[in-house]
Amino acid sequence: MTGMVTDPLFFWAGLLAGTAWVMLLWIQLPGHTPRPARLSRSAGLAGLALSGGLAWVLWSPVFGPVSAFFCLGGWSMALLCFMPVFWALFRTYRSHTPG
Amino acid sequence: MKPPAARAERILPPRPHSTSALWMRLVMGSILAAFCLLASCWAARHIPFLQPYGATGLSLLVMGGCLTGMIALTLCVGIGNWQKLQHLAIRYRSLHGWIGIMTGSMLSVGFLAGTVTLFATPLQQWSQPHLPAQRNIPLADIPTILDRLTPPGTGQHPAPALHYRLTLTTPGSASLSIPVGPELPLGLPASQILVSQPAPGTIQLYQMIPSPVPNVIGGLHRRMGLPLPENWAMPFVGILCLLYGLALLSGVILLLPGIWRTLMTVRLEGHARRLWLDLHSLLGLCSLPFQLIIALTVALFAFAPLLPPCSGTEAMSPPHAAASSAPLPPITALKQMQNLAPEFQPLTLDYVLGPHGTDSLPERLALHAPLYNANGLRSLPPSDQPYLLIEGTDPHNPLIGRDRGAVLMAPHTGTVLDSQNLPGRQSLARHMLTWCLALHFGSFGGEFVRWLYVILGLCGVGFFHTANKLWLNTHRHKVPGQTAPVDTLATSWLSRLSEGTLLGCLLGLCGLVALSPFTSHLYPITALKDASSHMMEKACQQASLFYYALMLLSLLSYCVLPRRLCRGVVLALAAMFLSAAVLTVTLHHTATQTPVSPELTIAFAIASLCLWGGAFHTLRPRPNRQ
Repeated sequence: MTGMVTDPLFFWAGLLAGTAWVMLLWIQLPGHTPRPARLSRSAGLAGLALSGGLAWVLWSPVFGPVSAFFCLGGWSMALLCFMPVFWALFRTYRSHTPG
Repeated sequence: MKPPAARAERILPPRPHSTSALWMRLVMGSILAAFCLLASCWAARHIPFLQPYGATGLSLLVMGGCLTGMIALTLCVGIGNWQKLQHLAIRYRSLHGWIGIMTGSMLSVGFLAGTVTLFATPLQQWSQPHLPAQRNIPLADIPTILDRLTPPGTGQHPAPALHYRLTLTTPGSASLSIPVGPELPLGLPASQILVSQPAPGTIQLYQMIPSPVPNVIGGLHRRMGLPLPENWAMPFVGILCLLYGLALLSGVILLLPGIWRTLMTVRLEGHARRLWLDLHSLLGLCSLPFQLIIALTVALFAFAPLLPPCSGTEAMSPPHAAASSAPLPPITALKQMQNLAPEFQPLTLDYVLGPHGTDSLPERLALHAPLYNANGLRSLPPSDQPYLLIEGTDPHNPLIGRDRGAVLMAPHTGTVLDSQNLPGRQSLARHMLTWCLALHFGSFGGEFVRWLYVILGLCGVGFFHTANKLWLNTHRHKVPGQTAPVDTLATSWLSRLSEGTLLGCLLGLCGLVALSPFTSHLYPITALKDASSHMMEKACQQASLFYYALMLLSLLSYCVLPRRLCRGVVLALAAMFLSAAVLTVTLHHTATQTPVSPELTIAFAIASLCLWGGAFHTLRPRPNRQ
């Protein structure tokens, strides 16, 4: 992989931070999402800003600053398309499991 | 009870547009959209401060015109009095559905083929036979080998003296090949003469005939599966894209009233219609920026060749007289390139030293290359001017091509003729256009973005499929006493056609992948004159026929057999094709004890396993269900 070979550490760390960003974004959005009771709105928003910024900073040396922005956007689009489906499957499975 | 006056003041929801009113608004919107397009073209040609931007400015303005046209078309349908967002949404509901059912199948074919097109170059390498081992030639030895290939005292220009290609394998070595026919980016691939050096001082020649399959899949992607020549299909594709944009924007308006309640909700249990609606809304809204950029760039690709060409001053440097001296050695050219753009990683060096074709609309039509050209009409130097084309990648910048950027140099002096496609060395306008095209091709961020685009492409296929399913579920008849709605004649046929088209496309693409290893050939030749010009056009036609035969088979089976049986059989056939392709390539490489590219082998193996799983899941007996 063009960028990953040169900076694998930054790439994987950025991927982790980017995933955290998408997860935080997902749980802030309306609909059937997991809403941790202990996570306040302001803490969630702060985490969102921090993880997003961190992901962009980590990916900038790998892809370049503008490419890092679009990579983060693409990654969030891809995850947001799938996470609600997996969550719905998980909820259905849990509701059908006795006990 | 409310007083009569209050009741009279109650906001009554407006009725949806009548068919004639809707058509009139659509026609008005279309006229406005066409006006926006023509105005952008006029502005690029006649407004003085835009003229210097040439083809780049025209492309950007056409994209802006398309976006304005889509917005105008959407506004024309919704314009009028409305007090609540729900009232506005009512005006778009039926139109959104009809556009979806009419364009969904073609768009899903375009997205599915586009997902495979992301791997056009790796698929070509994966399909080709084992290449001779001694093809890596030190860059310093290249001039000597070229001299040896040129017969002395003939006075004529032999092929290698006119056009040869160096593909860099390591920083200090390259493989040497000589294209047998003319080539344009993404056009029909030409067969190549490969030069290998089994021992110092000896040369062995091979003719390599590339597979037409990646090219055929690329064509299907661009034409959205339509069996028409590209120049005929493009206006249709452009109109389709404007409607696609209208459907996207109207879809957002339809979602707005309930967006904050159901945004991330997928209800798997309950009515099937609700599930399709949830999935369709989720996929559409989460991938909206991707879908919009695809709609805009495809509209640009489709409309740009129809608009009058723009001649700007951003054309390449004036032609230099062909020098009689030897061309620049590759090592020197690469050093100059390194100084010019340190981050650019060259992949190939094309020395074109004799008369060559020009990059023009008729040439592109003749070579079956995509009609849109970001460089306008001056993509290559005049036909009598030699040039050196260096293509490569840049990990930190977007690439204007599907997987590479390029720079044109004078081969004898190293003077830069055209650097507008060199990543990191572009003007602001060119950089913006490069970004727009890179966001379509996924040509930034390396392999990571390529795989991301596979996911987003498949999400696109899911988005259009769920749109079709939703429309069909909405238009089925509810019969009193029955829990599930019943198919009408129209929904039954549309359901068969939409599913048959999508699965037919899947079957056809898998069939083409299975065909690919059998269409690429390599055989030794004794001299350059022995190279035959392979009928690549015929090979492409045969591969296309194979695809359309499989598509027809799928559609016919959906017309005459039960849907579930068809689904299972088509999935099983697609899985069989893909498994056969993986087995053929793996066995071939095992027999010749050569490494096989693991990336595509693993991807195809996983895809075939998923298809087998889908086929067994569909065909397994279900005693309690119809």
